[in-house]
Amino acid sequence: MASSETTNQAELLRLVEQALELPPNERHLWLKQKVSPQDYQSIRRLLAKASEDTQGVWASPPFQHSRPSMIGRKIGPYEIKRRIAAGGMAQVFQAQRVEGDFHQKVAIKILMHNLDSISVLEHFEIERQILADLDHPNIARLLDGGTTEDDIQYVVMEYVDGVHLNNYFDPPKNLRELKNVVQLFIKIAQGLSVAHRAAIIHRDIKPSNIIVTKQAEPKLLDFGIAKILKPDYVISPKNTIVGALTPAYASPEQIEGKNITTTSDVYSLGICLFEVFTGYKPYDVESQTPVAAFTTIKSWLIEFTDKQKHLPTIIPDDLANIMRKCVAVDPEQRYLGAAELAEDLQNFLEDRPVRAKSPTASYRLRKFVRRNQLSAIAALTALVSLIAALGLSIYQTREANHLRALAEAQLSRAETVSRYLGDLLLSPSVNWDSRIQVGPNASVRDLLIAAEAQLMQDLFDLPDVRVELLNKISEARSRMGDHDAAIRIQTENVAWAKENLPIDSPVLEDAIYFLGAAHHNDLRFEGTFKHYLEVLERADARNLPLSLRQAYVTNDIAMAYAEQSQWISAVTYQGEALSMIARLGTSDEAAVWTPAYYNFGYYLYQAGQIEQAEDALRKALTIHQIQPDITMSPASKAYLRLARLVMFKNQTNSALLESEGYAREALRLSSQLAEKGSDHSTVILTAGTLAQVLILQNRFQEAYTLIEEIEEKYPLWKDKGEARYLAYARAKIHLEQSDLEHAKVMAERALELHRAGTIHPEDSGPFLKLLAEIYGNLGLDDQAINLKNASKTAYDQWREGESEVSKEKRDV
Amino acid sequence: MSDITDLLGKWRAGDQSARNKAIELLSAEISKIARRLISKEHNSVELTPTELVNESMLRLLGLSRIDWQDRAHFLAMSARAMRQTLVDLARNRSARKRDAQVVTLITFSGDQGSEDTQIDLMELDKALNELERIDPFRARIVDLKYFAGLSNVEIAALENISESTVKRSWRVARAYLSIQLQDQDA
Repeated sequence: MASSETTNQAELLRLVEQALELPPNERHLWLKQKVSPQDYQSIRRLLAKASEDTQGVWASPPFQHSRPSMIGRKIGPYEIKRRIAAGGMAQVFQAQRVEGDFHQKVAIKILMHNLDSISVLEHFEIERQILADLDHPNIARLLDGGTTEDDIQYVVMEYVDGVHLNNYFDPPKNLRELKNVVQLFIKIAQGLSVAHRAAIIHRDIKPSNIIVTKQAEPKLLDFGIAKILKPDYVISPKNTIVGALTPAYASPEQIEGKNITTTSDVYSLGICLFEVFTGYKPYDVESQTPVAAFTTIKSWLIEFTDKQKHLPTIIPDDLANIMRKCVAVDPEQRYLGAAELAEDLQNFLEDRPVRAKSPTASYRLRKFVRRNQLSAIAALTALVSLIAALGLSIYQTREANHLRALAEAQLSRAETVSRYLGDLLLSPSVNWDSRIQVGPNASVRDLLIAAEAQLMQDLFDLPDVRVELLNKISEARSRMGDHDAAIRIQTENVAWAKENLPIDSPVLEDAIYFLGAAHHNDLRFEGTFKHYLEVLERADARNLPLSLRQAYVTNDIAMAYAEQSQWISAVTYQGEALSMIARLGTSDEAAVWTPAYYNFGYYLYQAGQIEQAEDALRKALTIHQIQPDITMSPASKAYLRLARLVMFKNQTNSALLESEGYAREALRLSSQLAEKGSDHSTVILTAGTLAQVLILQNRFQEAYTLIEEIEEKYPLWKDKGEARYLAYARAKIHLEQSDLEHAKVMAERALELHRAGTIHPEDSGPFLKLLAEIYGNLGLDDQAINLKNASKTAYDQWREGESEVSKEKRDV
Repeated sequence: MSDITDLLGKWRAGDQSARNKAIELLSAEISKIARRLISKEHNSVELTPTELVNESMLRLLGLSRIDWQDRAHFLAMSARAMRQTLVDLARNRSARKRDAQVVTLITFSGDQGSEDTQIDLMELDKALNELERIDPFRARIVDLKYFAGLSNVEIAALENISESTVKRSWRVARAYLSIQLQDQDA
């Protein structure tokens, strides 16, 4: 009885809820028809109550009033007067310094509840550090700070008497006093640029963090979630406290939890600018989930920056363009830092042309690089952003590590560097547009050679910067295939660095690493190992905590062994790399783990340790799920490898279906990447694998269609080594149709492609076996027997763990 | 610290036992924090549940590891722990017969003023337990909405239902609770 009463009650609640979907005047009648008269009596009141529109007491969450407050307390020489603001971590009070006749109003920020959590304390400490570093009239000054006897952490700041920028949201007035308001923003941007130059990103720029004094002097407050871009703090690119940001002013990349740069602050300031001149927020994402917010923002931004969304015509075009440039969806299209924004606002005030109108030269260069799909895209983008970063906001590139040296160099020196590199890059003699016609690499190579020549006679007084730039240049040359030049440049660079940099300099380590990498890219393994191992030795000698660089070098050493088919050594080093990543602890991101596990699985597979290989690949794929977007490439390879592994391990129906599933997933991911211009080789390998697994299931027609489709879509790949499985599958199809002649041609072709297209020609077993079968059918018995033996040898070698070839190589 | 992150991950992957374990861990932590705050009167200040949750979130997840997704899940999990902690605090206070004001859960009414302006937290807990018995789903909506302060959108995403369902369920649940509270008074 009790249980039926319970269901009944829940059912009644459900019915009331359903009634709420109807217009108010129909609800009671509807409910009356649905339930017994008794029940109706009992829920009538409920429906009436639920139909009320006011939330009453339920409007806000419970609020616990408690205990005495800080008001009246003394902290050091300061007496707390009133609370100004409260946040999750800290509260801000207005206080007064009372010592002798001297009275001074201050703001005191107090870490809440005496938190002993290390990260919170550290954070507080970081803010104190940040403020101590920043001295600018438009940033609220740090006066004092410390810990009281009873362990309260506090920071004392300049008390700013004024109004929040929110009070400036009066568009008609602002437009009348346009110059004054723009002037205000110039000052804010100048204050912010001091932070940017010190490699600090504010991350929470919003009207309530900007106070304007009666003298119209804006002051930037609250560096509470600011980020210092120094290695000690840049634990990982995801190291952001997204929970603490303010969605209405946060950049899309912040909302996505992606890496943020100085341009993220520019974005937020752009939104403030928009609001000041329009009087409204561009979009409302306050209560949306991150995913929904991101979509809302992005679609608004695209319309806004494409000028489909019009601003009130009374806003001058140049000012509107400046706003658009601030909030470009692509961070690279925004002003690089607050300094550039300040400058452009000044241009606007003085009726000079604003940058916002046309893309900058460095932007054009980046576009150019992207358009031409250069082989050295990554290296060049890094180089270009490095150059751009030197002048405007030093930490523009993702590799904050590399750039720490720059931030620590004197600004004036950095400016010198930027000027001469800028002159070099942007001088009229280097005419980008005409050079693009010459060929994709020509102009870039010219640029690199010119930059190198310049560096040969310059920058001796900034050794870190000089070495760093040469690292980049040699890396770029190496990736372009200019191996000799890369090795030459980097050999000289390392020799110079060893004389001019401190023995334990991380920049020197980088230089040695790049020397190893230059050898590696040219498959000169002796030099590769020598320099990679030197990096590890130096890192060990420094006796500092393990760095990600060490893990990467170890990973690269494993890769170099793998490239020589020394699978056991590859497995050993990759295992070491994995354990380093684990010990690093902070690098628990899928972006690091997924490829590391994929490599491990691949090496294990090649070493004949199939089960461990399968484990590692599955692990890679599990981790891939955590951040699927940024791990597509290694994941597609892991799916591909797993598809092949499962297919060969056991050719039961269910195993083949499983393998097919993996191959399809690999194809889906790699096709997506291919559309963006990368990972074509995985698509081709995967399609071949999928065709193979279909053939093993006797689905010849499907396999045939797939091969045709892929070859049509990627015509350039037909003759590349990656097409070996496709050729193999074609041979199989011909064989099935008893078309032995074509089967023979295709199988020979597959073997040839295999030999040409892989650096591990010894695992040719399946190709040899197929060809042997075809020769056998053609009556070419001798050749068939030879091939069979060869295939058996290849297979045995593989099963043995490490092939003879690799042993020989190692002995050398 | 990594425990919670780990459990959150597992919960997202559909492991309900991970959720329960995480809630257990959380309840312990939240009530520990709350107790400590109460005892350290000298430097404690007004405390809202949101602040309490934020703080426990900082402590359990660490500053660097919070992303939005974790935050929503975390809040959802803390909802129940939050209620428990608040009720316990109220009960202790009440038992010690200290300042009766503190025991009462104070919320501010809408402008109509026809509603009561105060809810007794312990009575609310009783009513909510009753609702939980007959209708666990709507009770959970109350926890998420009222005690953890989640928005309708966030709840909709968490429970995988539409936003309008959240709104209606919340209306019915709060109507139910209001009536229960009125009847308890009578």
